[in-house]
Amino acid sequence: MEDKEILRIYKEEGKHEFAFNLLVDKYSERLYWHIRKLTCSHEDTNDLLQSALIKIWENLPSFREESQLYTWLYRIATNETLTFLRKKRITAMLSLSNYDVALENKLQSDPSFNGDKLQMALHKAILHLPDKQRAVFNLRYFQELKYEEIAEIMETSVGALKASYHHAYKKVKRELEEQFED
Amino acid sequence: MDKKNNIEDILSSQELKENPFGVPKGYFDTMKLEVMKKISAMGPMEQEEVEPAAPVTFIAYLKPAISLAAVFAIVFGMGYGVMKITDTYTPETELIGEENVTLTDEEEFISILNITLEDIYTADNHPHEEASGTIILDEEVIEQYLIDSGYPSTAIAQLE
Repeated sequence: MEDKEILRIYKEEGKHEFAFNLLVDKYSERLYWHIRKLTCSHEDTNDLLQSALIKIWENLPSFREESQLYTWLYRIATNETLTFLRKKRITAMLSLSNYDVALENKLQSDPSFNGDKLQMALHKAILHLPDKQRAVFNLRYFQELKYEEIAEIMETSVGALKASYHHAYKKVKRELEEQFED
Repeated sequence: MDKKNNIEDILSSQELKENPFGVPKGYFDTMKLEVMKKISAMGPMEQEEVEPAAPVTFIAYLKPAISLAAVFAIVFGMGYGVMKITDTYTPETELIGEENVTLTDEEEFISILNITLEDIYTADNHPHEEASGTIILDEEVIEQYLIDSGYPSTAIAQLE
């Protein structure tokens, strides 16, 4: 179903929950995987996804359709996740531990990871990027979104995004080359 | 080199972009039910009340221009006030030397001016002045001036 149709149904009297149901059916899985690649934990992703969906429900009445619906949804989910990661890093710093190491350990010990050695190496290399850059890389590389769409999500210029993705891609490629040199 | 080119090819491949993670069975259905329960528990949505836009009156339209004009008036007034307070020019009086002379009319002004000039250029006060008003200085005057100024006498002798 088209986003415009979902929004049209939402505006009808007594149809808010029904329209929101349609929205969750259409986007929850995509939002889940976007969050999951950033947190490397199913439990954290579940909490963040539910929190993001409730925020979407609360803010739907004030959605002015100045951006596309799905970029707005991604923006809420991304902001929730980046805020979560920032808090985790601060907590880790205060307890004199490294959250990057914690993320890598989560990835390596994830029982639901079904990929091969190359995929593990790729995801580890992506984990070494700063959180915002990681979000940009994932949206471009895995979700294959256009720069203009990512700009709406990240609220950054297209030029800055292109530069960010280019640097991220080079870093990831260099790490993979070093790992598979031998 | 081959390995590096391979990495480039591998990164571009769709296989590497495939999702390697899994989720517990039935997760998305369970998650959706949990979210809908939480939303129902929140109660009915409060629709955002959009107040109808108030009609724009003529005063409201002019308000920005009036505000700007008021600001300019205040700034100009302050500047003029400062200038008035600090200014010592009085257009009705002139200071000549240490005396305040009030000019009454044009003829009196000219007579004062003439007296002053005549006083400066009379033969008694300035014997070296010709009738045309040109001042002629002779050698004795120059010599006396140089001596008074402290010029060495040997230098003065050389000038002669």
